[in-house]
Amino acid sequence: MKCSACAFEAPIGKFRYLYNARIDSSITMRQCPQCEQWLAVDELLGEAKDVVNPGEAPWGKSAGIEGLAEDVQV
Amino acid sequence: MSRRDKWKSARDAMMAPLGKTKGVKTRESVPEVCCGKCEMWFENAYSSEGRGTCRVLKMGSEIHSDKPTYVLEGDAGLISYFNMDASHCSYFSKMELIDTDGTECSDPLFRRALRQMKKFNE
Amino acid sequence: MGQSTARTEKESSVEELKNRREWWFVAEKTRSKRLDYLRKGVWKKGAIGGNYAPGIKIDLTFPQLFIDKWQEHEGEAIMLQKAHALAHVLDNIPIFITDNSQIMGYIGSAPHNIVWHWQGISMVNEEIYNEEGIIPEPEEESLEILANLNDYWGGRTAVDKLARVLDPEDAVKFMSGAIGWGTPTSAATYSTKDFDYIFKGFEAILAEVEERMEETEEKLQGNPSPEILPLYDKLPRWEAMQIVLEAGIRYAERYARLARTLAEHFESDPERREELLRIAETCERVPAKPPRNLQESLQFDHFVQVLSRYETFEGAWPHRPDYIHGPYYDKDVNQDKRLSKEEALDLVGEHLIRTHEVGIFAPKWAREGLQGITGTWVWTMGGVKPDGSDACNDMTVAYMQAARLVRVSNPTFGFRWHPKVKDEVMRECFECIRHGLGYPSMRNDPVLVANTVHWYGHPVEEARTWVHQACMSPCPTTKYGCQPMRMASATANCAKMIEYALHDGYDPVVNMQMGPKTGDPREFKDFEDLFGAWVKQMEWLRNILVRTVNLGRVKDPEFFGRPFLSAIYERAVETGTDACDPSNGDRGNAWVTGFTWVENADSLAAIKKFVYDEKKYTMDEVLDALNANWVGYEEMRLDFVKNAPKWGNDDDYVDDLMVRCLREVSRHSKENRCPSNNTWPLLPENVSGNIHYANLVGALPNGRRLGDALYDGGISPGPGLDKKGPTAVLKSCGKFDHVTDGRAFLLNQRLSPTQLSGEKGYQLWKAYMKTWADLGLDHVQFNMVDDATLRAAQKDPEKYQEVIVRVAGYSAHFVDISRKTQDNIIQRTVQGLG
Repeated sequence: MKCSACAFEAPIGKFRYLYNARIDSSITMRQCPQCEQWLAVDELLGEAKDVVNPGEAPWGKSAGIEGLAEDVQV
Repeated sequence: MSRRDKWKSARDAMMAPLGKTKGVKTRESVPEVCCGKCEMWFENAYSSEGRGTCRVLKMGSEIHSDKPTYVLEGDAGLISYFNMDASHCSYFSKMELIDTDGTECSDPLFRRALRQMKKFNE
Repeated sequence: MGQSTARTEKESSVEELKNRREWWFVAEKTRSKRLDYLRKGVWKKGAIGGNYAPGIKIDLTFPQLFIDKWQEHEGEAIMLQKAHALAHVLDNIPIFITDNSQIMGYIGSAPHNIVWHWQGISMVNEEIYNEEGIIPEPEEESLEILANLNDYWGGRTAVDKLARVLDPEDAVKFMSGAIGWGTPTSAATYSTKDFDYIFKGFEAILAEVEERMEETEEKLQGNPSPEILPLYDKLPRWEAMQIVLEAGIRYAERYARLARTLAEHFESDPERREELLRIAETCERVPAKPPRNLQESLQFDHFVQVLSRYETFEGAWPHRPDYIHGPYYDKDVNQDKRLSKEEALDLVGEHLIRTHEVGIFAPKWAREGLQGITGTWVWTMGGVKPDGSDACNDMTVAYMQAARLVRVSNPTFGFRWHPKVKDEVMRECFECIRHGLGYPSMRNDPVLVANTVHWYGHPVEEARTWVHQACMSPCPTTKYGCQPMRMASATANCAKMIEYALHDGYDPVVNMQMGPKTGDPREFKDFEDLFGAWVKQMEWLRNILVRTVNLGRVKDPEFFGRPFLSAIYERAVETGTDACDPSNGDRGNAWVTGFTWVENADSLAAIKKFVYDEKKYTMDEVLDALNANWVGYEEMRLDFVKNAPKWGNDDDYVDDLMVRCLREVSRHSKENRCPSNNTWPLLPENVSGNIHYANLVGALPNGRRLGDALYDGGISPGPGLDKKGPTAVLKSCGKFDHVTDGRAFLLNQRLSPTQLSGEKGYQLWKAYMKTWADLGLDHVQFNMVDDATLRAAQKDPEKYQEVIVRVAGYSAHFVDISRKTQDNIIQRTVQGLG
């Protein structure tokens, strides 16, 4: 897998596993051992997608929000 | 060895540093090659005073002499401390990523949030 | 005219903030100047994730004062030795009065300091030495002091002594960190307090002690017999009680002198001078004598809590302040009219702030398991009186209103709902929840009173006095009902039950043979074999924890000693025993806290369906996938997550398994006995232990990997796995008996703040609560903060310091919990009501 921040390449297991985004999603967070960035990783494809900074949610909204009243605070 | 004796040796290893005068010098010392920098070392989650276990070596191993003894089978891992000299241990494998950030939560494989480890990294 | 315009502008600005649901700014704009000053002036004592906030330092004055007298009295009975040391601390620890403050007392020598209790466990002492950021300047000098203290206490602490008595296998496994947490000593503990007794005043208790001593001395001068021999040990214990009670009175008098000195020589503001004189008068009165008004009752209460925490780390705060202080509020505000409602609200708000500021060093596992707070200080509100009538009063309402103004994350409230609660009180509860506080948690009083009677045989009148002993477990506040120490050190990492059943008792994470060898699962013939292995692992896990804590409890008077707690425990004063001595009439109120419980049902259901019923996968394939932490098995993992039945969807396939597991535990709970020969029921809940254990529980058949947060509640479905709405969740949770199937069951629910706005929102919530009550659930608590706010707070924490969330069993400021915990809360399903 290739780090999307620093291009470091290694087998996926070398990237420190942090945690899942949602248990029912194949997106997880891993940390690059070289640049130490948190990455969103698609475990099905074995690909790093993006760097994930605090406040970002590459997996979308919380479960259950669909179908509810607007849930955005201006 | 009886069940009790077997586990007594593990307990004694766990409790050994207690009750011994150590002062500042021993507590501050972090050797260049030490268990805390080894990827085989697993920090104990019950206590964060630097105790941990080896993921390869089992109880009965001894890594401090010039001729270490390695026990690879057994019920419990070798108990050691983050700042124990591991220079004689042939199983030592240096960690590439050591996480010293204590604001994130327990990760015994990667995290070494001890003050002495941070100082060493600086 | 000008004033009126300004008021209108302020009001309209508050209305706008309310419309935007920016409740933290609403609080800032509507609270009194005094509360605003006190709230902003308080130091953050809970850890941020696993680290203390910048500026927080460990107190070195306290341990040095303590050890001076401790060593001088070496060789005396432990309670007496400790009483001398504590008295010396109380007589000499620096004290201070915060501007605008009206309630006195602080644990430590300066407001930014946190204390610790070195007599408990050497590992914690060493952890402090190694801890980043908390060593006071000059660091070199402080490290020298700490090293000397640690060298002295090494091998002498309560847990060091206990580890030598425990079976060595139990000691190693208990301290492996894998199967549970807690310290089997009252050095890290909490205690129920009977204020009906304590409010007699320390002088009255001293007179009682004196009388007991005189009676006993007379017997010792009489006919020699075996019966009088135990009396010799009682005298030093009573003497110890005398020493600490007298020191407690002197400690209060020190505040009185300081306040009077400030008033008479330094304070130029006449209003504040009056306040300082009132403070002096209050501290001269209590705790020596019974309180006469609200300020005195709050002050008495706070002194007792502070003194208790000088004695030990009280990590919870079992309390029912509306019940205790309600009569004084009524007298001052409604009858005598010596206090306005606003003045009373200032006192109540400050009571919350003074509690919030208490800081005691917690080891890393406790900080991670209770992120953002010092301990689970869940204050009990509402409920019934011993005769069964409604106990809610004006103080219940005042605490709810004050909580919305000061927005502290600790203490939080647990509200004892019962059918006679008035609508106006329910609205106050809902307003707190709607303001995003995450509290009060709602507790079903009739169910929990019955549960308390069922498990321990407490008389119903006593059961009705219950307070939250920690986050969840009810405990009566009566002479024989009060619980003096944290029996919940038997806190089980329950996900290990299924993990060990699948690994022949071996722990693949910490590489240790933990549980019994229950066989290679590949050889299991059917699901019943697997379930049988699970039962054996469950029994082993509970047994080792309960054995350890039982021993810790009976050894506590010998290894630790509680002079102050004993002095405020009627049964200890009466019998000349240590409060923790189980032979003095303690009825028993023990429970096993069950962290990471629900994974068992979801994992068992997944294997039952895919391996045994449908034969879609072999056990071999499942074990290979788990051993690989699902790496390379992502499609199979998603199948296990999405297509296996999951708890919380009103699906009998998995719900029946949950009930079956609970019934097995319930049976075993009666086989385990506490030192009072009472039961050990299970109480599933998590605090933030689900995050702490994330890296200690391996991959499981519910689809989690090593490192993923475990489910957040005691019976909450997995985040995002409850697909069928809130009623299905309630129905699943209503399939077992909340009286006989366990002690209490924590249910987290996340609601939409937009959906629950206005009167319509209240009515929706009230209808939901009716279903909850009808189904006989004992607990539910709510998060009502939306994703956008939480994401914004992650991005820009400085701007969102007062955003609070419900973690599990407690609330925390969102910015004080780790990113993983934050994400775990955002992952929870938002339930639409109606």
